[in-house]
Amino acid sequence: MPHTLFHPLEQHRAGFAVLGLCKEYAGRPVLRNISFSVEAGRSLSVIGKSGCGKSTLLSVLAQLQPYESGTVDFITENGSSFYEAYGRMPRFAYVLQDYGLFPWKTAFENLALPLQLGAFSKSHIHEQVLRMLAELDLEGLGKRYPSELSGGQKQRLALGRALIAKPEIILLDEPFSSVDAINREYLQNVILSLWKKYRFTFVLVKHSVSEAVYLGSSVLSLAKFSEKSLEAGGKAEKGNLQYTLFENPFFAEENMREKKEFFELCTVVQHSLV
Amino acid sequence: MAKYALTLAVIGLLWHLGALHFGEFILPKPHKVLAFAFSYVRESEFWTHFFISAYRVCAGLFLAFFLAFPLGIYMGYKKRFDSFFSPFVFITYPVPKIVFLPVFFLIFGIGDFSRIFLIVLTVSYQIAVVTRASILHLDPKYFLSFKSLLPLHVQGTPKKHFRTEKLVHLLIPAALPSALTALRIASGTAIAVLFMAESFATQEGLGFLIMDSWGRGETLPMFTGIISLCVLGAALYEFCNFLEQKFCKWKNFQIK
Repeated sequence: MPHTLFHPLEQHRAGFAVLGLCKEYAGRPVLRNISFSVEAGRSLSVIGKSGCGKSTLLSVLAQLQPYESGTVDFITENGSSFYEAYGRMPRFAYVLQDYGLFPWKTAFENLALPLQLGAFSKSHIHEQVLRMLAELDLEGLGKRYPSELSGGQKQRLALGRALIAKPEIILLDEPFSSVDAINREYLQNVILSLWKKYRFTFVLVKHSVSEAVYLGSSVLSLAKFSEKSLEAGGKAEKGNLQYTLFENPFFAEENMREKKEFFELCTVVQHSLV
Repeated sequence: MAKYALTLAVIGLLWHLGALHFGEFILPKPHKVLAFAFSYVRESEFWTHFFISAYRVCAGLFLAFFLAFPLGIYMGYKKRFDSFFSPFVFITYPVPKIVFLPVFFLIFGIGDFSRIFLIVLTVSYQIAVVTRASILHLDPKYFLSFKSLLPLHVQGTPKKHFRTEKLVHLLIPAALPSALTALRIASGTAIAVLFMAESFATQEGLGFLIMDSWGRGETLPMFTGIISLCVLGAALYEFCNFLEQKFCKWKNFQIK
């Protein structure tokens, strides 16, 4: 069944459950015994200091890298196996840290590529790309190359390229890291409004606490794995884990940024990082 | 255009001064050469020389590009192929291929095949090595990005599918700018090799025209031949430029 996985009509909400995930790089453990789950249609922010394995976790979830042990199961809205319910894996989209847009393709061609790889008809691709350009406020910029776009425009283009093949799970690696503060807030709201419209499940890696809390219905705070700190009992009270999970009950509420609880949650998450 | 005109004027002036210094028998004055050239281009004999040279050099460059560009991409992309093939390339790279012209004449006979073969052999090294490097140095994020856009049933598994797509959307466009730059530089080398290859065992071509006129002490046709080779070289160079601008538009914007 070569291209049925990319069927344009069929889209379901997919969550996932990670159990006991371990990942090594050249014999050195990076992720050790990670377990968490994300409900279908919710979001997760992963936060941690650089080098703690945030991006690795994301690429493992995106099935771009193999892992040593543990399981990643995909589930439907009612918690049953996604594969058993629909006979396939959920569709992923992965937005790379510095966009990963192809400089030799115009904005239009970059957006069209995932659909071309899914072997859609030319007219369908054309229609979808124009719609996506309009949706992301990039109308009339289709003929431009990424080098002719601003940082914010590139970021929206990368988002569009991820969204165009109607993914069920979206993984974003440090989105907006190279965008100024004003654009960043605007882009966060772009993501939230797209989420409200499509209710895809998304995971994002962040290094700013407030952004992580703002965009995550749960927040995974990851610490760098080291044998020493665990043996010394540094985090023994948390059951020797390299991570802590927080729930964000205020996710996607109006004016979340202005709420007192939002700041309190940010502070708690901030403390977990130290 | 104005810059070209100025350059030509300066060269003409230096040439004229040189002619005054060396005398007519060594360096004829530019206007005399031009006058001769304008009458000579009306004869079919000139065009026979010109077109046979153009054919040899274009065939050589064309074949070299279509052999070396895929080879370079494959070397840059397939580590296992590269590990046994590039030592061979890098050991034979510094060998001056031109000295094998007599050998090729012996093996392939005295004909255009040997000459074109020599051009292909000399020039394809430059193109293959540059193309290989451009793939090797391509940011790994583009490979990851491409992989992430594939439908899931091939993500994370050994690639059995999407080879053509990877070539069309990723490898060829990424390698093309440097390969065309290499071709542009190679066009100069090709003209030099052409001159050597035409300077003996043939009765046709601009190389023959130059050497034959030189042997008979006729400087006017000799300089006509030299100018024609220069024009041929410049035309090829500009053609490669045109190809770069046509097929690598995104590069033009990036330079800005």
